[in-house]
Amino acid sequence: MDPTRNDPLALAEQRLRWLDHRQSVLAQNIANADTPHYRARDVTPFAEVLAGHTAPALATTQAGHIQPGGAGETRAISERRAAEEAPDGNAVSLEDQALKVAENDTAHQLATGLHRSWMGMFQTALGQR
Amino acid sequence: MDLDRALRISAAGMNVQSTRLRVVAENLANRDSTGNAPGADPYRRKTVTFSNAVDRATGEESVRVSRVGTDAAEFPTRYEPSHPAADAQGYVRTPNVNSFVEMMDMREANRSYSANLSVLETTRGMLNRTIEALRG
Repeated sequence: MDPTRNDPLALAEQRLRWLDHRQSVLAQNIANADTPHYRARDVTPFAEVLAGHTAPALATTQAGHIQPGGAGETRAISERRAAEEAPDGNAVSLEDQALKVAENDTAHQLATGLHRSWMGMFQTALGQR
Repeated sequence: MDLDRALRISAAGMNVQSTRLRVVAENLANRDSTGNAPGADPYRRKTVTFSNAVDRATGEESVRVSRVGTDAAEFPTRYEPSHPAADAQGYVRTPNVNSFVEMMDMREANRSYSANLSVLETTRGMLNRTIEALRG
């Protein structure tokens, strides 16, 4: 087992990266709340990303192949089952998305808080505080 | 960076909603714009549709106005022989703008605009907290 993967700082960093990505996906959903035939998207849950259950990366066997994004990258997936669908085929519930944004915000607060307190411990150990 | 992307996407969302509001304003302002020659067409209601677009330069998906079209609905007529746009039978064709429909559209645009704005504020908060964490 790689000890650096269990480091709370690395975990917080991974969580923050995931949250940042999710925020942009949610922003996209809300921006497209009136686009016909648009379905809301969400990213792979963090627990799955952490367990390494992400989509396998594309193999590059020749120099000319397009480089895939970093391994374990979160990917936006369309939601299959929508709570409501407008007559124009749009299936974005603003309430649902607002809830997710709030959730994301709280999680981000937690992750930055964790990061800060862990850094504080380092500083205490170094006698700078 | 993803948070910057989120900011840009929210801004694009607000942009399309304000275009929609502008079209609503045009429609409402032209509610009584009839033609000025016999048989001339009055103002035709404009509609706006959005689409999910990929920005080729950055590869990010965002939203844009796909088309400002026109409403093909029939023009309602009114009997007013003295009007300059009245036809031989004395009927004037009036714009196919329904103020209630426009009002609903306006409310919806307003709601979507606020939703985008609140996402923008949340994203900004996240960005600030990240910078704060860097400060230690």
